[in-house]
Amino acid sequence: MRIREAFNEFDEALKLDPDERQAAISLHHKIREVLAVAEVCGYAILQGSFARKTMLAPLRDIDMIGFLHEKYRPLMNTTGGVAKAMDLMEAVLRKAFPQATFERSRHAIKIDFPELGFTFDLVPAFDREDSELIDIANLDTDSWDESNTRVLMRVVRERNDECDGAFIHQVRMIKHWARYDIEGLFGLYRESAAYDGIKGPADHPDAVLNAFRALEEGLELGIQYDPTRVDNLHLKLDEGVADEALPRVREARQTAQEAVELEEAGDTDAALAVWYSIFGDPFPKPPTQSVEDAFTNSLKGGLTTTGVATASSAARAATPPVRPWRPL
Amino acid sequence: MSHAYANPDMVAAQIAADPNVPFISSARVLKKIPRRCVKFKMRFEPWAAMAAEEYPTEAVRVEVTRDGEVAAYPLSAEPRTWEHRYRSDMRKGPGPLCLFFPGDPTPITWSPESGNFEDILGIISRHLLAEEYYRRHDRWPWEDAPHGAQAARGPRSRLMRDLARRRS
Repeated sequence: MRIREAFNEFDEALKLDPDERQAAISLHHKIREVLAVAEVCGYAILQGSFARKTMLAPLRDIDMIGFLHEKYRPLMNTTGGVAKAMDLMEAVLRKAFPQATFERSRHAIKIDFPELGFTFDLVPAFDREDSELIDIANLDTDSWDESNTRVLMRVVRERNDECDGAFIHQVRMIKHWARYDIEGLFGLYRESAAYDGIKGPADHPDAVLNAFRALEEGLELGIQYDPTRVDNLHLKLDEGVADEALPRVREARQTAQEAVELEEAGDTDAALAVWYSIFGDPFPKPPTQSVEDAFTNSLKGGLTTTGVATASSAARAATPPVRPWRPL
Repeated sequence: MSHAYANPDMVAAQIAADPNVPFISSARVLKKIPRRCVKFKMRFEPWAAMAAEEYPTEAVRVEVTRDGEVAAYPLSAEPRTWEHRYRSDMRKGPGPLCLFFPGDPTPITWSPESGNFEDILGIISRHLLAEEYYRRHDRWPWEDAPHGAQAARGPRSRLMRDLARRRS
């Protein structure tokens, strides 16, 4: 298996299940319609990683924004206005979806569709004229916060276009890496580092390496702006996360560098083994090296960090050739 | 003077933690004998291909003299055959591994002057695996030197002859 094929297979495995994705989009349309027919919301859009197409399987939380009808704009200046806006939305949705359960968080109404296995976070908002910015509900402060979520979606879409459509796939790869080991390094943080590291068309291995470099640099400096350059996301990391993540990211960057060098030196199988050591499943399992090939390759080259013998010049550990001997 | 002799504790810590030395899982200083040698205890792990075949992990005492000469003594108490290992000495116990023929061309041998400490650890690692291969298949997995003086005739296989030329 070649490197490109392996990455394509990996990419496919990271995608959301198409049927599940379609079900989520259909449900979004239905929610939008219910809110529009009841004249609660003029329109609604998807936001977050689902909208940016950088969400990893399995599908869990889908973020959407419901833009309240203009007749409700006075709620922006009414005490208890945020709760009233949420009440309005929830009332019509409860009627339309009696099987769903509802919960509220700071910004959103969480709608759980138990039979589907995913939830919607519906954020009440007011649109602004002649601006990409919007005002979103904040239940905690009973106020409306400025949000640039549409700018974020736009710049990610533009970056994806600049990368010939590969960017969102490469973001998913970076989000998959150590996703369960370093949970505190949240998705948008990783996506933002990828945004900084991947600026144009690049094969997946080079792009991933550049994203790891950017991630490492951000963690070292304590600076990781989101793609809109407004928020330093580093300040939103929980205490200790950066210290825990930095050595892991550095090791991943060094290992990715090794994999790229092995491929350049012509040892595809060893490169695949190194990529597998970085991503684990569902990256395709590398071919097993035979014991005899391991000995022969080690005489010509050395070992990779995954313990695969390579005859190439990209070995990390030297195993110089010698003839063992014994006096009589 | 070898850096392993000069800074043994630091070397042991570095080697144990170095991802670029994937075949050593632990290393510590066993003993320092002033002006003579340092003794390390290291655990050598099988490479990926050998791990898949359940080759064993080997504990080895690695001795480094002040001059940088290195000797490796497998520590397993289990009686096993060794194809390339000095015979046991009544007084000193089992001998070290015979890692290379010192009369071979420089590119296919090792000396403190021509190679570094990490290189000889790679040689030891492969040697341990080859001994296990020999036990299983009754042959050395690449050209070894014939025991005794016949080794002086030099390498016979194309591979070793090429390597002797290529690396010089």
